[in-house]
Amino acid sequence: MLGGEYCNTEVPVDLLPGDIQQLTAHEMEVLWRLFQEIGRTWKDTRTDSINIGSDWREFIQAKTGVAPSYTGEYSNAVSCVSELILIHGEKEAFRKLLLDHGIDSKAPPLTRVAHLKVYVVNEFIRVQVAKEGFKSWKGSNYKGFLGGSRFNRKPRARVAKGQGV
Amino acid sequence: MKRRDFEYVFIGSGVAASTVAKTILENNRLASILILEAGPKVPAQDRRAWWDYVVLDRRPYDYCYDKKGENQSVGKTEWSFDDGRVMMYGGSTVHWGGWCLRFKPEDFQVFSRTGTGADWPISYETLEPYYCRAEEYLSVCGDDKEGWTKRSKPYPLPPFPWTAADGEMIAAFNQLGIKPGKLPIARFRKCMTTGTCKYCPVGARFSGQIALENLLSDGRHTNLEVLHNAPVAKINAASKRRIESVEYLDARTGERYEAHAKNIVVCAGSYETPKLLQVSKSMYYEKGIGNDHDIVGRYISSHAFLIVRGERDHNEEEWFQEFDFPTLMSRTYDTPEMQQDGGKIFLFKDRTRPNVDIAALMIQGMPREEVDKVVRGTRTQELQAFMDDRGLFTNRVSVGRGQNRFGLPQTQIDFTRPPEFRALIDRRLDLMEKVILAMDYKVDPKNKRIRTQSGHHMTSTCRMGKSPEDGVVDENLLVHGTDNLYVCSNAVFPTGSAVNPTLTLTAMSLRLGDHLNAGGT
Amino acid sequence: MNTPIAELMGCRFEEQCTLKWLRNALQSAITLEFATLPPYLTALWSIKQEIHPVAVSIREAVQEEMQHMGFACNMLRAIGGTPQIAGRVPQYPTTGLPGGVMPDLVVDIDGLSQESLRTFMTIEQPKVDVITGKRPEAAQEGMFSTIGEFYDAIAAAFTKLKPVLGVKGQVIGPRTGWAIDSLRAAQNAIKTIKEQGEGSSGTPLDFDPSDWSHYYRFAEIAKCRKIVAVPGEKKKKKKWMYGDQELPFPEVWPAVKLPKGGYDRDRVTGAVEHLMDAFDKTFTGMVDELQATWANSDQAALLRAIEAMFGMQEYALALMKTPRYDGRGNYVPRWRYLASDTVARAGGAGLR
Repeated sequence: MLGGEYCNTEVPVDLLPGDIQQLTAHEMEVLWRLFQEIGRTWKDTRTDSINIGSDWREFIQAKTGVAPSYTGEYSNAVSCVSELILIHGEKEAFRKLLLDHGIDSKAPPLTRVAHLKVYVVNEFIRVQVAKEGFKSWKGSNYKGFLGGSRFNRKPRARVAKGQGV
Repeated sequence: MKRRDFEYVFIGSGVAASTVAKTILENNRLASILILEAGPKVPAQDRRAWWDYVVLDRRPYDYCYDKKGENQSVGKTEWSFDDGRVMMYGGSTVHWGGWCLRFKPEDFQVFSRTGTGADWPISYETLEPYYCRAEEYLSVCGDDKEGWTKRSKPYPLPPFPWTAADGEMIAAFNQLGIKPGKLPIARFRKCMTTGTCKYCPVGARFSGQIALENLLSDGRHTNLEVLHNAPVAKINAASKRRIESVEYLDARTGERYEAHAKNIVVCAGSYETPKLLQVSKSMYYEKGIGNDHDIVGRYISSHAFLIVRGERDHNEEEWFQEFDFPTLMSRTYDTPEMQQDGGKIFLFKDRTRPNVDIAALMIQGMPREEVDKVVRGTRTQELQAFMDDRGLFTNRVSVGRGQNRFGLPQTQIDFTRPPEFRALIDRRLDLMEKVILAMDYKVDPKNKRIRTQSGHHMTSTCRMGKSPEDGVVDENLLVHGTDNLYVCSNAVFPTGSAVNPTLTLTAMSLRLGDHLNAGGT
Repeated sequence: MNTPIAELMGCRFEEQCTLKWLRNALQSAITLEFATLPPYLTALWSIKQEIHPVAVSIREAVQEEMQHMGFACNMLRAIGGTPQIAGRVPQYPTTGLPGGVMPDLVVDIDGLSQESLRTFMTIEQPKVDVITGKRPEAAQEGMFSTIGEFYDAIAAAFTKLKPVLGVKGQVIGPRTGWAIDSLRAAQNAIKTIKEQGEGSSGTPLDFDPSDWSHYYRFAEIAKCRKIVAVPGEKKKKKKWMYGDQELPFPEVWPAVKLPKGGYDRDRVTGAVEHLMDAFDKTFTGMVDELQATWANSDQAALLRAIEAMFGMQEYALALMKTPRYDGRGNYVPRWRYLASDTVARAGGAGLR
């Protein structure tokens, strides 16, 4: 079991309500820290994710500014992370959350920490890999990555021999 | 029922309707046109929708596909309606891959050459200038040097390069005497290869939706109207020759209308077009408009989709999917000789392989070292093919039970492959397997097969023919026996060739637009 | 306020170097970087073949100019300013760059030509051309002779003032550069702008050894020859020269300069007028999206601006393929910012 009493409170599977809420600066800081821990954990960023900070912020804006809003999920995520840090300390909290969570992402999320994992952590991982992380596995491109004009000197994908511009 | 009057009414809002409308409007900016779309309008280039596509693989128009249980397959060959077409503003080019290949000259003469299928009443040479215009309009990126078909103008844009992962298959092609080619695709200059073609964030792939928005945002087109959530129930005839109106429902208000027009063009795709003609019965057309000889809906022609997948146990180059479109193809077996042998095949490498879903491994909680092992481990590659189909009289689209969510009648498909089909498929799969084996991959027999039959590229259900006995429409797409009812859809193709139909449909649409501008029939 | 660069350049640095000066200087830098885009883009779009090496080279220069603008915007944001882009667009042809720099230099909207290349080289000129030895004209006393020197002054201001740098409001990413969150980050940004523009000290290279700076890219294109390095007289010092390898001048649409005052509306056809208006509306939308990008720290607005640029390209191409009413060549877009119009969203206009 991951986390304590708050994390393991049962909640419905649907998005947690938060449509008229706004995230606070502190909540944004904690969410950003969580996002950065992904790159640190899998060592797939050279800029500590700072170079994709604007992409991440745009993602948060899109997920919270339009229905169905994720604000309730993000708020819940911050509270869960806080409890995890209280119980395990910072380093171990993020390690457990990312590498040793014991949560089946395919199952409906029915606790607060499962919501954290499915609606926040998993989606953050996809954003991080799409915008920067994939490069550390020799990739030139990835679903969701915007590389620029296809007429640039550098091809948009790894190309067969003799296929450059 | 309220009456409205127009010069043109188009049924359906896909690439055919928008292309014909555009051609008419370029000639007369004030032309009075109504385009009716049964499905809803889904916002394009919406940032939230795009992010949800990236992280959840969820497209905002997923609900516009046919749903399980909505249609019926009654023939001996199982038919899948899944993901075949999108019922929405802009039509199926909202979800298409943008593959733009020309038919070849022999595709227009299948019956003369083989005694099966049908001949087109026009030739490749007649359509060639329209292919050039269509490629310009759709912004097709292709390789002029390949020479698969004769062309009088170069492609508007250069092709995309072969990917690193294509290299293995190119080597195998060369070994087996198969000529590798670069897939011509519709991508505008602004393509930034985000890998999210099915919902492009920058509108870099042609879609009927973008085409309509451009027509509507041009301030000169003051008499153009496009309605969505407006299914057409029936086409009405005032006499045998004169088709006078369409009945449609404005599903948002519940009001019914009769739109009268000088010319009516049905652009509703290969499923809906024949069904609409079939239900449009009157004292002049007891079996439905254009159906006096009971051929509306018949001769379904639909690609068989062949796959051969191979696997090997190392991926030291760490290849994974980078483009969302295939780049390697070949038309070496798309020839008159293969046509004589029963079926041409168009080969292309599966765009989704090799791939490793790195994010999915991280989501599972796999540490970096383990992810690295998986990425460098098993690699799969897949060669795919479409095979042309000859269309049998007994294979038919007709009206099914009840209505679907958008007010359209459900579809019944009666489709059965002929007995000789299995042996032909096996011969083609054997050819394809040689490629995978030449790449030094292992083939699991379960992965050397055809996919469940579907109607992604279905054609011929209202085919062209010189006479009403062998075609629903004539060479100018006019429904036989009428003066002013046209069909512009994949449905009019007498045969479907081995390649995707949309480029040919766009060419036919441009041709119809010119014909209407010249006064029609 | 957009303080004339000439005035900024002329300030007695030791006496007047203040945060206010720095903010004004960065705002002027933003306006200057943006002003290079219309002439460079028009020249780029006039090239028929998208993947011609010359087109690839100019496109990279354009993308770097956009990144320079991004750096300047982020530097201004870092010290608490808000970049102003809308409403600062010059009317072309313009005499003198924004802020009064090179007051006699006429910058036209023109297709790619030897004349337009000379103008571009003047804009990007280094202290000394390492191949020809040419130096820019001497500036008036107290002024700077190159834009590079102006950026040196900005760098010196950062070093002297050591302002507190905030990341909030910056737009950080591959298109706009790294976060300006330290003095070092600011200095690196300025170094990048300078080297990508005029080259690093004594070489045509910018910081990437496979890249020429803009000045030398344009020089190669004008000369139709690739620049090569040869061993110099002293062991470690390379010499640079135009080598034997040709760089063929690309085939271009026969577009000619935008006339002063624009085209005669009574003589253009309806179709041409529609293209020109559509271009200007899309351009206006693009500028507004750029303004919104830094006003709201909104990456989505930046993406819409980039997309709008492609929409503009299609209208520009259609114009450049159309002969003018006076038979002197083909049209070019006007690049007018329509301040008072209700403009269609940049991203929605234009099929391509």
